[in-house]
Amino acid sequence: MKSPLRSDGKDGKSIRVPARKLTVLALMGALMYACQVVMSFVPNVHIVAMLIIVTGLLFGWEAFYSVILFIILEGITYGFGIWWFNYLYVWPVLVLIVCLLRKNDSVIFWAVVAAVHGLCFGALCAIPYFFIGGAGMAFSYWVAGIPFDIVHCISNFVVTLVLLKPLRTVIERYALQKAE
Amino acid sequence: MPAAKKKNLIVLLVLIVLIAGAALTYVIFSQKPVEGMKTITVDVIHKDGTKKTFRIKTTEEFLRGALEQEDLIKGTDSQFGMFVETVDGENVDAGSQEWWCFTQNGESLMTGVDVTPIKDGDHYEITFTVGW
Repeated sequence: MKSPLRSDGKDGKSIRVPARKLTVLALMGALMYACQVVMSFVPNVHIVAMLIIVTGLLFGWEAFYSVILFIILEGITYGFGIWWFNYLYVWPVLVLIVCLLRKNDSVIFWAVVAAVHGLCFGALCAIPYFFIGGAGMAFSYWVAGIPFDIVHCISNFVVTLVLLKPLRTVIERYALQKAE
Repeated sequence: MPAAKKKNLIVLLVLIVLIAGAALTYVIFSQKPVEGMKTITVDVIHKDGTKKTFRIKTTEEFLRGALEQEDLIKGTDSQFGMFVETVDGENVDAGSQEWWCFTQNGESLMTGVDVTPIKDGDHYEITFTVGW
């Protein structure tokens, strides 16, 4: 079975990622980071989830490279607190979902996936508090953040609905020519 | 109805149900704010160990509002709420793992300052802390 993290070279066995594809993956990671920083003044409104979905749809498992870069840049910028350890699984989970459901072509479907991820963001971030202070602490943490999660959900839905298709078209047309 | 449209409709309905469920959970289980005038006490323990006590009379419903009313805190807004960086004029350096620990009657607060409702007679401590 073909490894999800391999990229075929000329001999079909190489694990190297072609330079152009690697560049695009790096740029996607940098774009996720830049967009998050630029929009950080508006809590829970950003285009990171949409960018991850686009990257996952175009590159499959290799989208993990972009997400790992994004997480590292976030940590360097904001410090490595509990929230950073949340990021280590919250964003890769979205990549996993995209790769598993990659055959879907509907923009509405992906807008809903982004929305559900936004809605579950707080619940996912509450997991460490389960180990720190028990179920009560984790539940209180999650409940207190639900209004933020709902904003996150709606913003993810709208952003993905509007930008997914145009962005995917632009990347396919201009960045991925002869990339494979 | 075409299968694709039917599928889209189903996922949209699922999303609406999930949002409604989350909103209902919040309404039922969240701590409710209290209206009206209230007096709270806030102890600030600085880096050098000195302690200052502030008695705040406020109509604010959440801790953040009460503390900002007295110009006691400053910080950065994030998707997790306000990250408090300055208390009573003293800054923390996140790079040195310095942060302000908020407690109520000695027990850790389970929510951020934005969403911690206050009531008359509450007692909070804000302690300069080093190390995650």
